[in-house]
Amino acid sequence: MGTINRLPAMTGATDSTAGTAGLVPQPQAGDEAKFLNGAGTWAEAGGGGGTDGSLQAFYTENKSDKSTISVTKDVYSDIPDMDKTITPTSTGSKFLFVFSGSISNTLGQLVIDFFVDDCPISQSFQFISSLPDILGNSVWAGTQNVHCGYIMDVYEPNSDKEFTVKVKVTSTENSDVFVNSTYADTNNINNTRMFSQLNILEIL
Amino acid sequence: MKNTLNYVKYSDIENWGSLDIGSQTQVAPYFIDQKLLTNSPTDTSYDIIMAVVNGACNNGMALNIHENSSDPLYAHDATDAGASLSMMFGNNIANISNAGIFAKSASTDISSYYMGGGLQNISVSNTTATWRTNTNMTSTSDSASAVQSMLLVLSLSVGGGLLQAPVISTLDTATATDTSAGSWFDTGLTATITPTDSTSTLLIIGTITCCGFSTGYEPIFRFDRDGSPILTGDTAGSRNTSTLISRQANNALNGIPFFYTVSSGSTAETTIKLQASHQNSSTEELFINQSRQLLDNDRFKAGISQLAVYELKGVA
Repeated sequence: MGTINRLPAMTGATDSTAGTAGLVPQPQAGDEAKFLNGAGTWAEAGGGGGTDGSLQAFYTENKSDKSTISVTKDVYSDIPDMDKTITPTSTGSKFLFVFSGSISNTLGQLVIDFFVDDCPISQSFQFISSLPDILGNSVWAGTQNVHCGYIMDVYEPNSDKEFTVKVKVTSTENSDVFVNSTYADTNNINNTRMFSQLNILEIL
Repeated sequence: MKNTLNYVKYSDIENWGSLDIGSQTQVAPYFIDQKLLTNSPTDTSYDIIMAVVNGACNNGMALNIHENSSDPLYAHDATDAGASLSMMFGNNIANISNAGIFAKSASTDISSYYMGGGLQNISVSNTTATWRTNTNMTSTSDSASAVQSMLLVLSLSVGGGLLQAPVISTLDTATATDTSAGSWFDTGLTATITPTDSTSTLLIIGTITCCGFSTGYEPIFRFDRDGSPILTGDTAGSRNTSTLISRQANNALNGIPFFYTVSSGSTAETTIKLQASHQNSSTEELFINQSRQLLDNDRFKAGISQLAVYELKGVA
C-alpha cells in the first residue's frame, strides 16, 4: 500500500507572514454563526471583517491631568491628548466619536467639536456648556463651575485611508479654557481635579 | 448578531413654543419633530440611547427620551411628592447644552425614539416658559444656527462585539444624604460583572441626576472599582479628585451623562460603583434624583439615574 498524501492543515496568516492552504479547522459546537478568518480561526461574525454590522475596533484615550488652553475667540485649539490616528478596517465603516469632558473657562461660551484631519466633520458644533450664560447673568454663581458631559458625532469616511480625529475647543470670547479643573483651581477642598476621555467605536 | 448604529443630527433652530406656566397644573411634554427609527434584531440585543440636545429655556427644563410615543423611558413617580418625572437634565436660564444616555434591552418591534421635555424648577418671576433648540434665547447671529443636536441608538448584540448581556443598575428613588467634607458615599448605582475575557473593554454608561445644597459647593462623583477609585483626575495638593462634577447646585436638578471605558484586566468578578461627595469644607447635603426642594406640585420633577456596564471585545 502506498503512502496516502493527506492534505495538511491550513495555517493562518499573520501581519507579516502568509498562511498555507489546507484543511480548515473543525468548527466546534457553538461556532455555527462564526466565520473562518485569515488567521485560521473561527471568529465571531464580523470580527474578521464581516459585513453584518459588527464592532470592528474600539479606541480609548485618557486624560487625567489638567490643561490650560488660551483660546482666541472663534478659533479652535486642540485639547491635549484627546486625539487618535485610525486606519478604517473597511470603506463602509461608521465611527462613533464620544468625548466625555470636564471643562471650564473664564469668558464666553465654550464650543467643542470633533475635527478629522483638522477639518470639522459636521456643519455644526456641539457645546458641553456655556459659562457664563449668554445674558451675562451670574446664573453660575459659584466660582468653581466645571461643566461635565459629553459630545458625540458619527463619521462615515467612505474610505480606508488613515485619518486623525481631534477634539478641539474654542470660546465665543477670548478666554482661558481649563480641562479637568475648576478655573480657580485653588489648592483646597473647594476645588476638584477631574477626568476626560475620548472613545471611538468603529462599526461596520 | 447584527449591531446597528442609527442616528439623526439636526441643526435647525426650533421654537418649542411659549407656555403659560401660570395656569398649568401639568406641563405637557413638547416633542422635537425628529425621531429615530431602529430595527430591533431578532437575537439578543441591547440598545444604548444617547442624546445631545442643545437648547435654551427661560425657565427650568427637563428632557426625556420617549419610545414609541409612550411615556418617557424609565419614568417613575416621586414617592414623596406630586412631581412626575424627568430623566435627563434640568436646564437653566438661557444656557445651552444638554445630554443624556440610557441603556435598555431592545424591543422586538420597530422602535422610534423622541426627545421630549417638561418644565421643572420654575422661577416664579416668569409666567411663561419658552424652549428653543440649537440656539440660545437671545442670539440671532449666524453662528447660533450652527449648533447641532443629535439622537443616537447603538444596538449591540451578544456575539457581535458584545460579550455578554450588560449589567444595568437603575436608581428610581430620591435620597438626601448629609456628607461630611472629603467623605464619599455610594449613590446606590452599582454593577457587578464577571468579564469573560481579560482583554475585553468595560463600557460604563449612564446618567446621574442630582442636586447640591449650596451654590458654589457642587456635588462631585467618582467611579469606584472593587474599593479603589478609577477614572479620576490626578491628585493635586488638597484638591478633591473625581470623575465628574455637577453644575450649579442650589435647587437645580442636574442630569450628568457619562460614557467611559476601562480594561477588564481579568476574568474575576468586579464591582463598579458611582460614589458622591461635594466641594464644601463643611458637611453638605446632597440630593439624588430630586432637587433640593422637592415640593408637592408638578413644577418639581423627580429624576432617575442609571449605571450600565457593557463588556465589549478588546479590539482596540
